[in-house]
Amino acid sequence: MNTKRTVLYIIGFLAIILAPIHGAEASGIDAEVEAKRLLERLAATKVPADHPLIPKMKSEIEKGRWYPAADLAMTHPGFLNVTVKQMALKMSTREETIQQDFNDFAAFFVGLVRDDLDARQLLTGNFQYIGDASRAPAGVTIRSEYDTHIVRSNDHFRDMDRLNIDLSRMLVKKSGQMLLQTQTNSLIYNPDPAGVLTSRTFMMSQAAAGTNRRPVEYTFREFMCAPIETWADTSASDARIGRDIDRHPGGDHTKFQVSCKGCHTGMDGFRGAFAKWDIGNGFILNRDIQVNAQGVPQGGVSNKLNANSNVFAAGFVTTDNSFVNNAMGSANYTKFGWRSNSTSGYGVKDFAGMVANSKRFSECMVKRVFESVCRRELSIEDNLNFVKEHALKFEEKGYNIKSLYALVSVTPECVE
Amino acid sequence: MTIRQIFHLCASIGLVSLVLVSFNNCSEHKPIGSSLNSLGPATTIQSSSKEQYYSLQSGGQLAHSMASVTGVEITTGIVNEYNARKALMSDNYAITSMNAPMLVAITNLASQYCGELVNKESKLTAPQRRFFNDIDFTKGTAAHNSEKILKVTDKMATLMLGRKLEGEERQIFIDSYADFTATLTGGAATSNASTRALLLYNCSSILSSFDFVTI
Repeated sequence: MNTKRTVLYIIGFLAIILAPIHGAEASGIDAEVEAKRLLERLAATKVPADHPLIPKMKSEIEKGRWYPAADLAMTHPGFLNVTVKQMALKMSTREETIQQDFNDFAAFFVGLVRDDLDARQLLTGNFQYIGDASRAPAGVTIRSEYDTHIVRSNDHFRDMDRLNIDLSRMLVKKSGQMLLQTQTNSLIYNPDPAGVLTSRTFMMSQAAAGTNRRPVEYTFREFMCAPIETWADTSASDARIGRDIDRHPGGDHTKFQVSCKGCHTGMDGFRGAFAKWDIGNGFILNRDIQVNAQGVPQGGVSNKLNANSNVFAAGFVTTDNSFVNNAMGSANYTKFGWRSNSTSGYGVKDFAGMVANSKRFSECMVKRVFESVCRRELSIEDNLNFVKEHALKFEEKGYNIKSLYALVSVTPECVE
Repeated sequence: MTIRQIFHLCASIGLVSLVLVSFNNCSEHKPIGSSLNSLGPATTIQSSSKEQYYSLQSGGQLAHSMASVTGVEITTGIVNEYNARKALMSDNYAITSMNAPMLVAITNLASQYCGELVNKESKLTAPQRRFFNDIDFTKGTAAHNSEKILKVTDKMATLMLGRKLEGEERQIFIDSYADFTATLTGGAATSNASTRALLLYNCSSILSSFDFVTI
């Protein structure tokens, strides 16, 4: 064996021996940096370099166990108090901003994530989350009179919107959703509960004035990540379009056919689901629990569903809370990925169940979580492989939002 | 396979490993999670804007972040300052939304946390302090030279930003120390209020820096 070859052999063996040491050292240094970055990303909060979670996360990362590291990060109070809360606030009203008071929609969202519930219950759950005032820090008052501060106003939730309140400790799950029966001034269980869609905040924002098309539009916008213009379909049936929509805008029927109709086929098909809903002075109303002065149930639908009936008298008259799914054209069928029993139904709960069980709902949650934790926009259409892959994993994990956060937060795509 | 062949094989693998290991640091930064094999091949996310890779913290985020890194209790003063300023803070995380009123608001909020931090630590004995154990709170800046203040500021940066001060940043703090002490007249330099004011200034600078307000 010549000298040159011997030297090469020695270097080769030294490399084998030293490589793992080098790797461990390198990963040790990176692991600490990556642990801090992951923690800050999930908690949406800067943390001190000596934060106690960092060594634990570092240890997991060094073993290549990124999901347990993410799980540890999600125990930081910032995850629920900032990351999830801000995502929920943005979805809760028309303004789509985080610059608004904490509310019952966001409380529901935060509580559901904390308790590892199936995300579909965001739209179908018959419960709500409220604050336990006894858990408030000393000196902080949370107004908690159910009728006054929860049903008739946002006071209860606004009082919880304080820096020193930890929502993960404050929120408690309460079965059922209560609504006001105005004639008797009493609280009655919601006959058509549908998670956050029948929250005071969502309804006050989306069912205020108008003709109850907006609750449909925003359900799709927030939970299907589908603004109305992206699923307008002029080829669908116009049989459900209301009497208040002009079929000859500006004297031109073509304009209706090629433009107006596109959005209204979908919206008007679904809006019957919200036919019983309206708002009062600071509270939300469901027609089915209202009675007249003699105690006789009012029944019927909200007047606004059939408002402006002389615009096109031959249009559809809403008489109950039935709805039909007109977003079944080939493009929309593919886009939304409807699953069983998605052609028609009654009330918000049926409508919400249909949305929550679609493939698109899971894909939208991937988008929401990605944007929440990675802090940049994600187009579903431009990133279909990524979105579909994670939506599938999300469903396999029982629609657990925390698992989705863990999945998404450690992907290369999140930090590239 | 003979002993000689095994020897050859091991040596060859070793050489390849050496090349890979040695040049690892020259490659592009490998992002977090790149070793996560269960997610399959990475795809490229089509983002609408490069600017959003830097995410500006919202008011709520900043308030929590400042509480987290300073470790101070959230006082009424902090809450009031936050409530008064939060409308000026970012609501969309976009770095392009940063503007002058927002920076003033962030600095004001930072000063509240830093004021509490200085108060809190000044009541502790030196070994009990996390940030200011080199500071004598009974004395003015005359007793704390630039080097000592820089050391304390470096420690703040390490705990708050997760890194030490860099060259230009160090110079800014050295210059600001000189500017600050030059304005002190009479007995001000020996008054302990000057030390507190200087620490408040340096702490607020770090908490309102670009590195801190972005995530």
